[in-house]
Amino acid sequence: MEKTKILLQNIRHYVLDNGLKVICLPKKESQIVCIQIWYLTGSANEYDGIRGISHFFEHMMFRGSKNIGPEEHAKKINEVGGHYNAFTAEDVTAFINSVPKEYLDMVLYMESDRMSDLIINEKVLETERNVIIEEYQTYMNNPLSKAFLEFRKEFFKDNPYEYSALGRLEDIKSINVNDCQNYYKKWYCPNNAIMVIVGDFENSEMVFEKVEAHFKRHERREISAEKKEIKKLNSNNVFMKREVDFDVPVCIVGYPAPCASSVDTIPLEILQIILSHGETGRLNKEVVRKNSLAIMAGGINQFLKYSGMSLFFAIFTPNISINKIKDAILNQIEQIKDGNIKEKEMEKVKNSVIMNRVFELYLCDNICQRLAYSEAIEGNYKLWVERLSALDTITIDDLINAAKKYWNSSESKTLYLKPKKINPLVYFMGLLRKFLPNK
Amino acid sequence: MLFKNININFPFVKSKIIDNGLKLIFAEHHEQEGVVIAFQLPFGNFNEPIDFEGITSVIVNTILKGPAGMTCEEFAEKIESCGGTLFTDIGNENCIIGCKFLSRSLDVIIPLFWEMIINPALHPKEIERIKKEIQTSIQSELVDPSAIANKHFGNVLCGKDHPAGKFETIKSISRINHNNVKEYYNKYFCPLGSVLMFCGDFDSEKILINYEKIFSKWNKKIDGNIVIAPPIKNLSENKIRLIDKSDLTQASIVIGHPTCSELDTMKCDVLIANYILGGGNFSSRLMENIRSKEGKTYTIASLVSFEKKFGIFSISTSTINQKVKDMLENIFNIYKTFGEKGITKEELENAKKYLLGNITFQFEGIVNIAEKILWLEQFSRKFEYFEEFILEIKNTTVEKVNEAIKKYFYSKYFAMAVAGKKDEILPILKYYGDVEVINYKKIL
Repeated sequence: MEKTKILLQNIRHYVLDNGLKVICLPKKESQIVCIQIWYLTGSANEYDGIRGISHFFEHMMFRGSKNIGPEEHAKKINEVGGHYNAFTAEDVTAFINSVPKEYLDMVLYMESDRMSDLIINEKVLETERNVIIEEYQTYMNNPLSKAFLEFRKEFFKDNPYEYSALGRLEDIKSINVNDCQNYYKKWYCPNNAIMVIVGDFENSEMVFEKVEAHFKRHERREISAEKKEIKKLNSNNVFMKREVDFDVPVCIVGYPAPCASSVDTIPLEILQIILSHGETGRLNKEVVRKNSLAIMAGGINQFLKYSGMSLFFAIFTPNISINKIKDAILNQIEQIKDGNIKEKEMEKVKNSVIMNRVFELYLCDNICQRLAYSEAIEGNYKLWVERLSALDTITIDDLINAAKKYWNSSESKTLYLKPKKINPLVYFMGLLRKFLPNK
Repeated sequence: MLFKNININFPFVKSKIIDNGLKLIFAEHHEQEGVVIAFQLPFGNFNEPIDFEGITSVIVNTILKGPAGMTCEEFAEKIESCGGTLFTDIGNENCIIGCKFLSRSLDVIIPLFWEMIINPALHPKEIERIKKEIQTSIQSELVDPSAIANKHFGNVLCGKDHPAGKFETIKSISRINHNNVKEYYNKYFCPLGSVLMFCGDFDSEKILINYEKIFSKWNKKIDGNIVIAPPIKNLSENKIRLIDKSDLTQASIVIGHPTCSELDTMKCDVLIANYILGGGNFSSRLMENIRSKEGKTYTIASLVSFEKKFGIFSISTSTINQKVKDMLENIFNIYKTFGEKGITKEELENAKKYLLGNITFQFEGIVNIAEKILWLEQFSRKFEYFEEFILEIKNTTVEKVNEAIKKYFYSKYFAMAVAGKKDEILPILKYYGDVEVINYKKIL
């Protein structure tokens, strides 16, 4: 993958005197430039009374700063044909801008303005509170997302990740201007931010100079090193059942996983590909196709800054019992732990990872996102690049050891979404599938 | 390919119609070592027979399970072991089956992909699996109020007899059997009118030399007429449907009416009008007034979707039950002012800047480029269309856009679908006309 290697060799890293980290990658083919700024604060930095406040900032950052009017940031980007977005997660609040290459300065100016001169007042707060309550209701009106949030709360009980970025309704209703000003002062500063710029520019040095010109005025602040209290995740076996207005039963099994900077994330990601990726993923091959127990099955790892989880799921028909489904999922995981991994599967994993990487590299937004995630959550942007070479050295034993270390049945937590009523048609379809001949 | 008026990195595109009528298109793009291969058919959901809604989805997804003479597992193993990913995209008037892969696997993927298209196994067991997957995804829409409202909106606006008024249900999927699938495939899947496109890192000459004969071997002829959906009748009264889901604390609302087709000369002006009213996110009038100033919703947007003979304009939003009355009043006030007074020069200039500036983003990477090329093919357009579009945007005036608003964007009557709690929403909706109330599970 020569072209991939050549492109990634050009990544440059720079730190301003005030602590702002900047990562750049020129990509001349794009004719656009993407600028993302990730503040290293999210729902993990919240506590009772202000749960959901990070999400308020995702919204309020568009409501005007000293030199930028309300929604002007968004409008200016629209006017040049670009796009913007923002998201709040457990460890970060991120702001995304993509514009034609001529408008890099415009974005840097606007991002700089809202880094320390955001307008926070009663009027802005009340409007956004209403919007956020609407957003909250959208999630809560979906019984599946509501149940999953409850499961997540149980999974990360007494941990910084217990609450999602959505927060708590009671807190959303009571957060005040003072709370917001304190939070802004505490976390929105250059030495608590990472900026990634990818796109059509001549060289990274020139971009660094521009960033410095716009951001050097911001003073470094003392980040209160409130060390997160990371208790070991509750190792009890948990079984949660929720009756939902959804005709198809769902089983989710979760295991505690390491934090994003752990070397163990690489084997766990490879194992997820073996288990869950595509038609040949083992869960699909065995649980869905061979044994006809589920309609769909798969999994995903979520690695956060201080902890993580490996999730596996199966959507099945009401004629199958939850225990049978859960056993079928666990059985696949046990087989991995017993050493049943083939070289052929490793080959598939390698090609699949390379293929994903190649297609990621076509889009500046994707590259920005990956670099920012690696720096902000994993602790070093280089990890994203180095993952490819790790594929050449990792062994089947490494995979087995990781599975043994993290995927212990005794520590698994299960969520069973049980339909309130059984739809006879869905039941019948389940039986029918069972009796059709397999090819 | 170089355009006079657009500064974009568009690849050199070569095309050839071979003996069996199949159009081959090659867009070489060597930035990275990826390739997209896509087979596009000139029909989609609109072509489905009544009571068999969803058959396109069943067939296309069953085709992905591989060619005859090979088990699904064997086929998947061959594709996935070299990192290939199959995909489908089913539209109203087209459908696409494709594969993304690394250029080094070209000679493994092309023969397998083509065999899958021209000689699919369509095994009964796979058909049943796919049906179940589709039924589960229909089920999952029931937990999403905005999906419920959107699904019903087309039905309310177009009526159940119009292709755009139909939608797949658990029952319609259940009716589909192995024979229907084989019949439909034999009738409509053929080379004439279809496109096989390659975009990415390859040598088109080599592909032609090695594979043209193989592509030509498929000599099937279409056995029936493809349905082109007719224009939608203009509304002569408000048509309102409330989809009752008693546990909802928030109502999801879709309001709209027919508008012009993709091929209408006023399409660009309609696009501009839509951007200003509700398509331009925070730059739009709806977003600015309803979200930014009043915080009444998380999101509100308007959309125009264009088909060959008609288009649909719609406004979508959601709000808590207590605010529905206010929300509807606001929407209709903004809409009325827009229709009566039209747009300002400043709004037009901003919309033009967005549409022109955004062109570059639409051609970033081989997946986007492939999509654009296939979209042109769907409407039998030449590559020059991109330049014509830009000139049209540049040259339009406030007067022209306002004329388009009067003709296509301002309707006395509207269709509305609301997913919400009957007890709280029905009295509000009755103000706008007769309301048909149905239970949300009727979608099944």
